Amino acid sequence: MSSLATMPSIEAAAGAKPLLSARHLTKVFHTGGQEFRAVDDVSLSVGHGKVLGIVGESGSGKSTVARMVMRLIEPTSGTVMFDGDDLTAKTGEALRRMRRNMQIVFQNPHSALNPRDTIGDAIAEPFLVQTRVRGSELDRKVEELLDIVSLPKTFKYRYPHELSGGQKQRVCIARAVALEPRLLVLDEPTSALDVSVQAQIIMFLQDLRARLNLTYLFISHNLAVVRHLCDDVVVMNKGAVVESGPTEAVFKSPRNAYTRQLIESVPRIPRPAS
Amino acid sequence: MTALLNIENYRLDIPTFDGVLKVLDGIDIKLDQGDTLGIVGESGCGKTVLARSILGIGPRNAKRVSGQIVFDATALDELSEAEWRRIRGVKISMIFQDPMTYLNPLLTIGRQLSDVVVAHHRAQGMQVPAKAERLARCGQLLEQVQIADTQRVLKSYPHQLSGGMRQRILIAMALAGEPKLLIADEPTTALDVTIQAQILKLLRDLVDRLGLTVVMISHDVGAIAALSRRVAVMYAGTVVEQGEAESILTRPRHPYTRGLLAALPDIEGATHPLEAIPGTIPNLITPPTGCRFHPRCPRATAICRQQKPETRSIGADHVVACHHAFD
Amino acid sequence: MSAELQSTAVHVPGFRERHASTIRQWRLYAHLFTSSFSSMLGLGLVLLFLILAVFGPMLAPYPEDTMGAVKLGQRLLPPSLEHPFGTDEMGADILSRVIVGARTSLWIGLVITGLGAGIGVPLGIIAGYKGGFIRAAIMRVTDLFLAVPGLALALAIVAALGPGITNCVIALAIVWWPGYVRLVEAKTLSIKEELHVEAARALGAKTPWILRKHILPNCMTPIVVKASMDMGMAILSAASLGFIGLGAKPPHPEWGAMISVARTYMPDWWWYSAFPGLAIFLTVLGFNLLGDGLRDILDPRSRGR
Repeated sequence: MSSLATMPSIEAAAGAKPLLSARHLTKVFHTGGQEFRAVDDVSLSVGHGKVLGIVGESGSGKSTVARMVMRLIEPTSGTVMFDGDDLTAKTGEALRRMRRNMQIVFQNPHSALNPRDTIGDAIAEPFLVQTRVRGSELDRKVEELLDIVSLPKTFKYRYPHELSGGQKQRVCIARAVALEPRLLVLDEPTSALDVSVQAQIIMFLQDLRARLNLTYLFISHNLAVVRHLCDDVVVMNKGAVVESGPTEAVFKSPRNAYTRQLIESVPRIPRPAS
Repeated sequence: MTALLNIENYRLDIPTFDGVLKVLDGIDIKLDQGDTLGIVGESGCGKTVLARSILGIGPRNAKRVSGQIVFDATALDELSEAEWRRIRGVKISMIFQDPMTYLNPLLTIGRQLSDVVVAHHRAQGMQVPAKAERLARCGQLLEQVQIADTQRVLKSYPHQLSGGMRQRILIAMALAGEPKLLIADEPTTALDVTIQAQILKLLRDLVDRLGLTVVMISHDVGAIAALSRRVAVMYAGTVVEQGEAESILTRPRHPYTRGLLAALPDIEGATHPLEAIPGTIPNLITPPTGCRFHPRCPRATAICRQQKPETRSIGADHVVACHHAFD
Repeated sequence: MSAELQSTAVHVPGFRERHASTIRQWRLYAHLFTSSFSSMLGLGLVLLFLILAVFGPMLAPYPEDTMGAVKLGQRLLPPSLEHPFGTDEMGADILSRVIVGARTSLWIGLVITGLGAGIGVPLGIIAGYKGGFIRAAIMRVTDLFLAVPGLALALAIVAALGPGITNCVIALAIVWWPGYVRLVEAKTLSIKEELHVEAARALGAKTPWILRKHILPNCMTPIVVKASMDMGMAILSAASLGFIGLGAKPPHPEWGAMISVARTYMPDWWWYSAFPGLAIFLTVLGFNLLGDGLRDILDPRSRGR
């Protein structure tokens, strides 16, 4: 399995200087004296302005990779480079400053917003913890961000429980892009949403990427969504990368048996002839 | 031939603190013995309330405003709790989204399965079989859901088994009373895609082998398409389109069905541009007048705001409720 | 022109509109609370107690009796129209002393609960959020305190500090905080797993910010419920210390101390102990019912459907 870890195809696609690259990421959890390798020697890279998808089933370690990239959990070994900087070496204030450049959107928008904060508070939070923007300027920024994610300005007075799943996910995206990051890690951002809302969010994410010049690391178990959205794809199984490459190539002619099984398992829907 | 399940003009209200939720607004569904129906819709469309009402386990304070559910020539809404016990789990069984919630973590699978077998014998007034016979029956049920090493599984606790295995066991329990109708409420939603494919195949086999009638509820059009011969599309407490799956998926007539299908990214690649349905699902305390889909509908006109569209037949087995259905 | 004006005119929502959900939420709480008899009884008893505590000296028929007036001519009179609760061995009106005693009890309850929560909540949040060695240290000390019977420990502390109402309150506060540590630590452990906490960390929020903005506000429900019930328990504990002579000293009108003196006059002069006892009973009952009622409306899981 580790023979695939260097992944020449992704390297080539990402060009000489990727925005984000992870080298030999490994995470070992110890539970009850037993070792569990949640992520085993995973390497990947995302070029500027590209979308890299990580697909896998539950327990494949894809979300753990996302959290290690974000330094929300510490890798057991391996490095994460962001625009030439070694993220894994940063601590304290330096790490805190780096966080402005990369943000994450989680799967479950219901739990990703503090139930005691209004939407306005939630969107103001990035400015309050990272900048000196306050008062009427902060108010203006919040309204601007609501506008970017196509929500009415009056939503700033609302509480999360009054919003639908799709609206909450828009608020989470507004928070994530507030500080103008360069990389957005999207951890199953549409999995908790209805199909029609999922389409809204996917189209919105595509549009947002073009407008704000963003790079995406998109984690999902939904192969159709990944195929629709991603330039390159990494397939994970049981903590390791089993196949990677340009999305079309992987989906059209998967080389790995597991990838093939994964793609074949998706039920096909008879389509209207257009 | 009379239908095994016949839901007629079924209307259900649920009173809440904020007002009365008009959850089901005149549902008409017919299903023959041995047939499979997929009810597809997004959250809040009322599909789960409908499924649970068929089994008499709907919201406790729900009020039936009109209509009835007739199963096997019995009007279910008139049944007493004692009569329900001879139907629920016996003639009509149900499997759920999250199998773990429905298994007792402290008891072995064998114990739980044999409890179900005993309960069925009691419910039908038969003598409870001896232990060896019960075990044999449990093994037989597990074989029916294609579990190979039955002895090991019977001795296992729920947490020792995978999600797919647990769903198989729930299906085995549902089959213990040899039901005529199986209701599957999002049976594959919590499962990984490879396991999902296995469970769908198992259900397909059971339909073919046992002549089981299945009502499957899901938001996943793919899962519905894999199992169901017929499809009912629900939106905001109404059935907007119903008929043969092939016909509905390849020639959707209702704007909502069309929007729903266009919103699905295709695993086969970008054969069509992704489209989203604008807006959000309506509040069912004050649902839109006329057609409940009209505020989000690209084809809506004045009549859609004023008048609820009649359900009309537009093919051999294809009905649609829309003033401006596609041709 | 007018169309242009209209499009630039921003709709500024009024107070009701902006806070529609909060208003709805409070109306729902009020509806649930008022439809429960026991909650309303608790609220009524607590309100009565608070009124007596605030306006006590003005309401007492014989205010001078609460400050140690001696009227030997009317010792130990049974309840009558003049003295509805009777009189004590000094001839003081018991009703007046019970009414004025409410203020002492309120003060005792507030200070003990406040100090207990003030020490316990921060420790609990830190223990739950930090984990590791800090958590182990805080929780083991907490366990140590919880392992010793609270009242017995308070007794020992008062004995060391010397009797008196202030020392009694200090002693009870010292044994009171561990309960809050336990409660808040458990709640923090579950809240810190929620995504909004992880999202705040990803934003680069510092730990104090996360504790103040994300953890504490979401812990408030169980804290408020426990504090409400603890008001009653603290008053009862202080009365117990008063009863064994370690709390307030006569002639200070404190319910526990009154019963302590009254017990030597049992059973013939029953009213002397019965009415202060009834006051303690109703106050503790009131706070407990109120706490139960609050828990029922604030925590949907405990709500009977």
